Amino acid sequence: MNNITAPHIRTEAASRHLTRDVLLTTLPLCIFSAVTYGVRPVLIVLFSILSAIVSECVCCLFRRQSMQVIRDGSAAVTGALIGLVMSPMVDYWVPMLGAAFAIIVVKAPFGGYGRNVFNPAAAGIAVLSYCFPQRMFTYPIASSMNPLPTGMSVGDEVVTSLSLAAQLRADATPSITRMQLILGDFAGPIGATATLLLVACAVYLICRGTISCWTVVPYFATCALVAWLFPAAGVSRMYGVLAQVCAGYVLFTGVFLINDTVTTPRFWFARLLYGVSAGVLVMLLQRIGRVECGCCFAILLLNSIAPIMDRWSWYVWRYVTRFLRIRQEVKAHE
Amino acid sequence: MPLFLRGVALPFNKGQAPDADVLAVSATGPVYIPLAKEEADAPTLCVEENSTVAAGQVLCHVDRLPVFSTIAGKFIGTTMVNHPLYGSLLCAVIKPTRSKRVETLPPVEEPDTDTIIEAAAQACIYDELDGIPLADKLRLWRMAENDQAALRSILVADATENDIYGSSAWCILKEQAQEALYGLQMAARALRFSRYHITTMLPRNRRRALKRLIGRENVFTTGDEYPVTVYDDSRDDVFCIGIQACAALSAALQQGQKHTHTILTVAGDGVPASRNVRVPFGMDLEEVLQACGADPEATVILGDAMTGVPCQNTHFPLLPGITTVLVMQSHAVRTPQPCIGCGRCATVCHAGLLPYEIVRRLENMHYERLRYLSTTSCDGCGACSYVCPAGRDVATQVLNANETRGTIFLNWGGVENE
Amino acid sequence: MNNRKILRRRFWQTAGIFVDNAVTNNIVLIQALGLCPIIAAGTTLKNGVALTVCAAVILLPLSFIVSLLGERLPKWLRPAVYVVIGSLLMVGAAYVMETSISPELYAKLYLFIPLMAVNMLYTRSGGMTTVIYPLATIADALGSTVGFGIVICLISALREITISSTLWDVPLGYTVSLPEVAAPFAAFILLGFLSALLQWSRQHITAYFRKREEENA
Repeated sequence: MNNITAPHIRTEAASRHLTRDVLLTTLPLCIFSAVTYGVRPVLIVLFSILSAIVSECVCCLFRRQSMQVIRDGSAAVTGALIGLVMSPMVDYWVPMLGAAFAIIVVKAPFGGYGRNVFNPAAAGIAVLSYCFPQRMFTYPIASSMNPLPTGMSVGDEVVTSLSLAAQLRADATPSITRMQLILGDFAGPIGATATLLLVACAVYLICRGTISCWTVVPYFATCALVAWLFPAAGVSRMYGVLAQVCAGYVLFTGVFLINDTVTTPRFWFARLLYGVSAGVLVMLLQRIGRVECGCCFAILLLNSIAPIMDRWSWYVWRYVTRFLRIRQEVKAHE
Repeated sequence: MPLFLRGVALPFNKGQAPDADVLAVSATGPVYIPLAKEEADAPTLCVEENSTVAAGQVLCHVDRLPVFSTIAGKFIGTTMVNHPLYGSLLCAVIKPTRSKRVETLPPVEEPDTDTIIEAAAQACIYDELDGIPLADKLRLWRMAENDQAALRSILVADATENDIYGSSAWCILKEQAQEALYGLQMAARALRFSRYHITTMLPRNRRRALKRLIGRENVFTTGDEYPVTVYDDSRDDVFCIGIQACAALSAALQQGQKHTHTILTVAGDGVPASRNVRVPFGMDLEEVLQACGADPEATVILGDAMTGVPCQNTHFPLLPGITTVLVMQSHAVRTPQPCIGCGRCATVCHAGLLPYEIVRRLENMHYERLRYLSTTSCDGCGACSYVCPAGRDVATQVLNANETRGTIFLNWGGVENE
Repeated sequence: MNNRKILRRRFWQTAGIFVDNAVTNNIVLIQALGLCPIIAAGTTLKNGVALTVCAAVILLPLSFIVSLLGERLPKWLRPAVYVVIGSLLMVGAAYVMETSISPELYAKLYLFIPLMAVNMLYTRSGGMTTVIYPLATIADALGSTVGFGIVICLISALREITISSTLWDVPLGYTVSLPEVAAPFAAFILLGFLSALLQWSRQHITAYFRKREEENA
């Protein structure tokens, strides 16, 4: 009786519904990849999820916590996101290692879901792309409709190509048409090439209220603006914008990584700032960074200042509105 | 900035109560009339024990205001009663009899500022929004003659019922709309305000009927997100009184009736159907619940679903300030999980606070930071707790922060002593 | 009897100071000093041991001199004097390393010796002036050195095993290797975990030594 506090009615929404929504959106991306490459990409994502969940269980044992914690689904989301940015021909142990790293090193020591400072998925991807750039950034050509073998590792018989992002970085003229870009018919990570699907995922998540348009819209606007202002050599401006936003991880980051609720700011103005700065940093690191996947490093950098951003933008906003209100009142009294 | 600060859309479940007739429930058991907080402060009574009293007959005077019996009956004596909102109270006990005798005041012929306030004081009209005597409010807000501020100020009669179950104000609008408008006009005259209106969030068809009845210019319609802003949020010259108090003021001025009865919504899944009942003040709540057929096992919540107080024992008198009583069988109890940072609490907060940040500071014991977070702006509406997907009691924590802020700094040698 | 009592008390006091500096108040894991050599140079066990020797060569005389000078110097002069002494000792350490340990190692690590000297200076200039008897000074310096040595040797051994699957240049018999662990981030993560481990066990160790000291007081 005494533990009953107002309000006496609560929303249906729960934390696990948010993660469930994100997991649901990764499903079409997996299917899209499975149509092109066979079962292997799906297995990669599944193994990654499995590794993340097992790591979470181990951490629960260490902290003497109930295993029920994994039911919130955050570990599965981390695993799925790490699986989705792998090359379809990567060895299975690579995403598993990344997922285990994300959970054991980046998430659990800070206190688990809701208390982590850095986005675990971004950190896992960052470590993998730093340690195994060869394995991560070699992609099979998408239009070869032969399914990839499902064995432990893929041999040399698969025809590989540079990704679009790598081509743009090298100032080469890409041979991919605009239609191919939009349909996702080019070499790239499992879940980061299906442009239309990713946009649909973003729209779905925004409609469900899982992610906020205050981050997503400024992020993409900034990315497009940067791409338009500084086009890659050898391509037209408009094509450059499309190619740079669709290529590599920019789109994927915008839909999934920058919207991890725990590590992003919560106040709308801070979210806007976060989106804009993420856009600038991502485009910068994409162009000049050491590895092809600069996005996750940009996200990790911004995660560290997200709480400060949140607080200070609120202070500024509060001060400005108070000032405006006082001025209005003074005017009314005159 | 209304573009960015918005409330939360509640699943309204008012049922048939707003359209059904009000059920008059008369007391069969004793009625308790509060006299004082403690036994030592007991006022001198005007009536003797075991004497018969009429409804509206003055029992005693507290602070020169009359305290009267709300029903006709027999005055038995005084007793201490424990009330969940007001604590222990010294109450006069009136046992109802067959008599229907009612004492009234002389009607006021030509009301002006002083006579209106005096009539409100003599009829002992309480504002049902907060349980404060209407006369006190009017005295506090009354403007001087020729005050320019009076031209700008607006008196609002709050009939929004911006709660999931509550509908008593809608009943007043259905039955006594013109009287309520007259009472509002008189209150505005007492304050020397030139602008006034009734605020509602009725459904469209009833809104139209109301506008036809009392005039379009007197009705202001709000949105239906919780909590509503009764008028413009950015203005601080909006003054708010309850619609029941308006109706009571009208009755006091025109017929000289005293404010003895209130309209109460009894709702929730523990009653067969939610309905509005007219009950005398001081009636035992248990009796009201029995009259409505409430489930005796269910939890009783005094107040609305968002801010109500659960009460264990339902044997206490009904006092002004309560318009809704909920009887809940099921209860939304969630095990709180860590904050996942969705930011929904900040989105729905109509005061523009950062509830998650306040809770974090409180949990990490960064008390010195709380002063930067304007915790005092919180009015405890509970919207943040309602939306929290992690099931945390955000509103309770923010209100705690308000208290903590004061005491902690006192203990630290007056570093910040607000 | 009385003498033995005093001796015993001195022993537990000194042991407490040693353990405090070596473990519970570890200069790397708790005070976060001397991180740079560990992160940048602690990639093989040999480097680690060499840097530990350097630390000992700098730290032992430095703390002895500082405790001797003690409060005789005015406060404003102390930092300058300490810096001069530290750099002189650093030159000595570099000389010892180049001549008697190995010139190749010196060529690899010469950058980190001044860094370490300055870091050690930070630890000394604060607390040492209040220690009363010389044994405590030595215990303190020795504790700091041992604390630094344990951490750097542990981390560099772990990293050597992962980078090249060898330990002290001896192959361990398997070939899985991860050269990227030589990057600073791996050392930071290892330091973080070690620090967490120490924080977890710290209160038990401190409680044990406080109890013994009280028993013999």
